[in-house]
Amino acid sequence: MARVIPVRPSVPFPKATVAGTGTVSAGGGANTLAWDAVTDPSFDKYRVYFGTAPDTYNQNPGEGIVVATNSYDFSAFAPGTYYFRIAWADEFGNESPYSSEIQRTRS
Amino acid sequence: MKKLLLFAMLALTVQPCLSQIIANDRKIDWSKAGVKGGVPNRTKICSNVTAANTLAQINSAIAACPAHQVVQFAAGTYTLAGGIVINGKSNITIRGAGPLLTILNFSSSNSCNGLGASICVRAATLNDLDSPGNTTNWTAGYAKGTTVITLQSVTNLSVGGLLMLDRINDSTTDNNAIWICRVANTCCLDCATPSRNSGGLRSQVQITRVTAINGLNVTIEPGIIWPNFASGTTDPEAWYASGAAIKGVGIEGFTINTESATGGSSVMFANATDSWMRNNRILHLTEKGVWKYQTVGIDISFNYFFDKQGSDASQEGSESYGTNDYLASMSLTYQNIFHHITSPIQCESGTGSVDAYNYSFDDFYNLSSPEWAQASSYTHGTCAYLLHEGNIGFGMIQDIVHAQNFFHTAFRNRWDGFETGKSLQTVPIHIYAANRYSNIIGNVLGNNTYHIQYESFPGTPGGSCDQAIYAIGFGGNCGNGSIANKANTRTSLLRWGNYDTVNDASRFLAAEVPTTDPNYPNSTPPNNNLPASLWTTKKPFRYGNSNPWPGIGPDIAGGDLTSVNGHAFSNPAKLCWDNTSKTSGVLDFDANTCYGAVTPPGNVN
Repeated sequence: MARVIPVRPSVPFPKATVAGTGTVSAGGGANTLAWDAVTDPSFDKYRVYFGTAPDTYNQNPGEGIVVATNSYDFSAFAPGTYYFRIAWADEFGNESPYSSEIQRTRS
Repeated sequence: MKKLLLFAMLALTVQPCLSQIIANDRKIDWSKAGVKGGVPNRTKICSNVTAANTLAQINSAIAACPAHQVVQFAAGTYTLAGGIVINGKSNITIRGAGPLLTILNFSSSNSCNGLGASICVRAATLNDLDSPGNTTNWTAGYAKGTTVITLQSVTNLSVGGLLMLDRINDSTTDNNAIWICRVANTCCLDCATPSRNSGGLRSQVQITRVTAINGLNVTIEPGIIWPNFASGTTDPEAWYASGAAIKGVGIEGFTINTESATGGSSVMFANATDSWMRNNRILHLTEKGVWKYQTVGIDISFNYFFDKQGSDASQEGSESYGTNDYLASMSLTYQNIFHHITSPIQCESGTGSVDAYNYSFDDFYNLSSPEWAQASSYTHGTCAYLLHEGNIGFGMIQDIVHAQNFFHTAFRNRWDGFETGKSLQTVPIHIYAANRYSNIIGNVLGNNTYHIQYESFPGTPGGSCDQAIYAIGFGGNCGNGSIANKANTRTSLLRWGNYDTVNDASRFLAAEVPTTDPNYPNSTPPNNNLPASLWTTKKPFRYGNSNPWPGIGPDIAGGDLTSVNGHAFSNPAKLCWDNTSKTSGVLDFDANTCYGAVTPPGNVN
């Protein structure tokens, strides 16, 4: 069965809401995901993976949604529960391990 | 701390001024080397295999694995009387528990296109020079950098396939430019560079990916690299297999021991793109440790290579290639350790590849004349536009055994050109006759107890040539050979900002810039600033937060490598060798121990 992707075809880059360098509690907003900024000198970008079931993501490894800063606005998603994980990559796209999975609800 | 502070101050002076150093037609965009889009982090396991499984069961698990997933090999010692095969199965990873935990002992191999490999990564449909599959005329789009070319036919050509572009060789009369010639003892020694025969031998080849097909127009990546493709008597043609190449295959976390294996390579990528080997030990290589046979974008990073199979005393057991580009393009060989390997990084036919931040030592050679030294970055065939950057090892040789080489760049390497017991070819930069247009920039060269002469070239006294920093343009080693000496190997050479132990100084001399070369001149750089890298704009992946970068060059001070006036720091691969335990002289290598585990983003909420 094909997976249903309950979002708009193109998810934009996040709004420039949170650009902190430390932990942001409560996601910095109801529909915003945030995480600690990576300080590795080879860091270039983040990749966001999400899906509607645990450990199941709509993006293949290496093909996560690219964001430049350490937050992601998912207010464009349809209401429901989502599972996220985050990786970072260098300028060539070499990918880090994934963060632990987090469950969030689009309110 | 003082050293680091000094280094940091110096690093601030490093300027991204590449365009002012190397003329555009003498370089390419090397940031495109390696896996397009980077190496992904696959986590979903499709199958777990153990040492109790048969080889057939293992290969069946691989064949059944869905794309973007992993066949996980448990810790254990696997005895394998044949090859592991990944045949036409793109986008999967085979992964061990770590190179010290999952040991693959091979006693045979897979035929792998008739060339033999213990691990064979291959497209479902193969082709080669003698059986090219499909051939057609290449009718337009020859200029360097062109990304859309026109073919006479695209029948059986696929997006995702490989396209091989070639041309007929030049005559035996030297054109004093890019001279593509394959006549033994006239322009090369045995002239065994791969060459298709279609209306004449074709030794100049570029391999590229097909990314789109619109009518007869084909979009390729990388674009045209060679600057001398043209219509006319050289009759440019294209050839290709029917169907797509295999792509996106990863080999991670193994010891691959081929002491008792058969075949020509320990690991082969055949008709493959955008695949990788990371965090492996490759021990007792068959002739070639990793053979890249008709490939684009193969990444070999964070591995340890050791020894060829057989006895050191055996003539047959003493010549080995760590990685080998054979009709390959845009390979990346990064942060590996090569130990007791004759030719650690070898190109026999290829374009645009990058070898960077590797550590090579004990380039063992015992074949008929053990006094000959061998080089860590070695071009042996028709290769062009390679970049060697940040390596620590013996040096670079561009020979004329198989063919000629052009437009290679060496940047910020520490090459000492010295090995105990060797007395011939003991030169950090050795460029034989008919190799032309090299760029040698920002390197730290020589051994201050051995080298006594700056350079040797035809017409200069050659008595100390084997103890020179540069040997340039000779038909034989440091003297006449069966190939005529070539003065314009030297006059076409760009040297800028290299420190050498003979002068104990860094040279920024306009006289060593080929400003008047009739074909590919280079302007004198406007200042002495050097960029940090010609490959990356940031500190490379897994280089380590505390390791100085750039760590080699005339603008570096306080380095830990001795006798070069502080101009060189150890790179992470050398530090790994220095600081890691050995068992019977073999490194107990695990990249996660040497280079640290990469940590994911934290505190996601």
